[in-house]
Amino acid sequence: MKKRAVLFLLPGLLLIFILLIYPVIRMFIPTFTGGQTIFSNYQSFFSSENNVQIIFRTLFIAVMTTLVTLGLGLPTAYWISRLSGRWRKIISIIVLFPILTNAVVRNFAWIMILGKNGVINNFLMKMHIISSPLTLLYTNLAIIIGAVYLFLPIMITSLVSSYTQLNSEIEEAAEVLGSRPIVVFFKIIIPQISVGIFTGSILVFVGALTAYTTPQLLGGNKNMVLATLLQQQSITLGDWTSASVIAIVLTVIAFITMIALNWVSKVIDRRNSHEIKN
Amino acid sequence: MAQIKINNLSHSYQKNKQILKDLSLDIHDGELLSILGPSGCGKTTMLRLISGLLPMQEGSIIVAGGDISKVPVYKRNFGMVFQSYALFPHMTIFQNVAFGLKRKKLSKSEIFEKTLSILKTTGLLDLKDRMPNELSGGQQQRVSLARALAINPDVLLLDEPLSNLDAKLRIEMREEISRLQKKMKMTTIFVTHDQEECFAISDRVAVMNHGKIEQLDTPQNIFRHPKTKFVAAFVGYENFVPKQWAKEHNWRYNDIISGSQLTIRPEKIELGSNENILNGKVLVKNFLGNNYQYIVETELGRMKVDTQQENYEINDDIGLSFSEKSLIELEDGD
Ligand SMILES: Nc1ncnc2c1ncn2[C@@H]1O[C@H](COP(=O)(O)OP(=O)(O)O)[C@@H](O)[C@H]1O
Ligand SMILES: [Mg+2]
Repeated sequence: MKKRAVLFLLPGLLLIFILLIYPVIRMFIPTFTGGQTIFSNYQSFFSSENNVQIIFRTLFIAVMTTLVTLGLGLPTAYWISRLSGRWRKIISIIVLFPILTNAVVRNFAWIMILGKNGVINNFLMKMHIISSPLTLLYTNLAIIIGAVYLFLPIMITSLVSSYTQLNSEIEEAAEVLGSRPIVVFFKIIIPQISVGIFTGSILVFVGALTAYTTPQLLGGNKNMVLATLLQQQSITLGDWTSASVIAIVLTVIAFITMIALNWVSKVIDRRNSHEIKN
Repeated sequence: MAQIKINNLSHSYQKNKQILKDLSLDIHDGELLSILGPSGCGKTTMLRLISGLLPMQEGSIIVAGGDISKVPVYKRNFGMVFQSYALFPHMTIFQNVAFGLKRKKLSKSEIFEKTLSILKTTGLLDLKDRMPNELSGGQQQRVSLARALAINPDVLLLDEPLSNLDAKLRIEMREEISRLQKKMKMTTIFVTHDQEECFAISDRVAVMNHGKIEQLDTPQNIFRHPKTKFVAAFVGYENFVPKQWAKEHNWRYNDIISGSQLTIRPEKIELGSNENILNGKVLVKNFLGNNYQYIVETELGRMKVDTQQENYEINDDIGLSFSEKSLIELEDGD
């Protein structure tokens, strides 16, 4: 019986190997060859000040995007989760709506808003608050704004699903025991939704880390991130080894973040480290 | 710790659907008062109004002489035990019990001492480092009680605390609640739909129906002298006889109350004696352990009879008899 089962799995396994594992290996190997030592390619990548700056900018944008979506998502998702059934569905669909539109279109909307002759500058000039237009577009801020807009629905969705699993009597018990609402939120609610915070943060962080369209359109050429650098190295310059190095650096950063966040969420919520014993 | 006066409490969740109707109730200092009523009659609503979890619409609540109607929940210093236990799933038992004390700005050592002492009183010391999901239902209920008692509340509110436990644990826990309540002399409101469990531990019982208190008295008085048909039915009176009918058939009963119904408990009726008062035919015979229960079709409708007699079978024609002293007069409810 068991041998037969393996036989059934074979086509699927083969497909996964050819389409997923093999390409990754093919990407890995060249980054460790062709130099004096196996790390030569990495040494030269990290020795460029420009590259290091790009890594930090990428991290900065990903971290800020995660924190801002978390800050906006926590109260919004809480509010959504407390709505009655029908309203919850309606609002959830509205929240998800931006995801259904094309990423390029969405970023162009922000270009119209943030540009030199965009909505914001026009408004501020008309109100005589500023005399010359502010530089909003093609900055880190623009990328972060675009990324927050892009990823907020994902954060909210993952938080709402955590919030709706809460038993409201637990919060009430805390209140009766003398907790103000703010204490209830931080001591009772946050620890219980740590899984949702973890999932949402990972999705947003990795998404913002690897996003290409948004930094390309809103950051311009001055504010490159790893994804746009990768595109430049591979498509524009045809340097596939450097591109692979960047890809692997991205993967490693994502991986480390995941482990770190997982650890943090376990510290916040000890339920995950205690298995049920009886 | 405190006397509670509930004055003219009304509440509705939706327009034109009043759940509590002008309810007034006094709870004495240190007494254990039960609210007994069927599911949906508004018991939880009332408890949530007292605790402050539900904003008050009409009426007032006075605790130890002070109006608490506008005091926020977290300043009331009440203890509450929920039907779902509502333990903090991310905290150890020790942390759960210490939670209320930590909100009181006590010193660390004081919190530690008080938590340990209440864990000891409730027999939870061995479990103090466990997480809630590692405990049985009975143990979780114990923690929930300990957590509420730890802050030495002015009032203890219990919302059907035993309904999720099995029969044996239920008796054990209700005795534990009674013991702790007496020991700490804590004013306690115990909400339940179980007549037996509430009679066992209450000083007084308020029987509630459709958002109103139908009768407030000691368990003994409620059991022996139910006031209305609803109360009678709720505490095990199964047989109801229209007074008019009894009058026509020359039954002798006290005729003091103006109501239209009489009632009698199933165990007060005998089968097949010589002085039959009512004739009927056995419809159902059930063995209940301590006794048999017969359902007898009579000209008054179905009568329930609990008796030790076992020599009657379905379809037997039999006579029912009872001492007319066992007939209880009821007021007409509204
Ligand atoms: N949040 C609510 N919104 C609307 N109706 C409610 C709400 N809570 C309770 N009710 C209704 O109020 C009535 C009394 O409920 P409840 O106080 O929970 O009764 P009990 O605790 O005696 O079973 C029920 O008919 C219930 O459906
Ligand atoms: Mg209830």
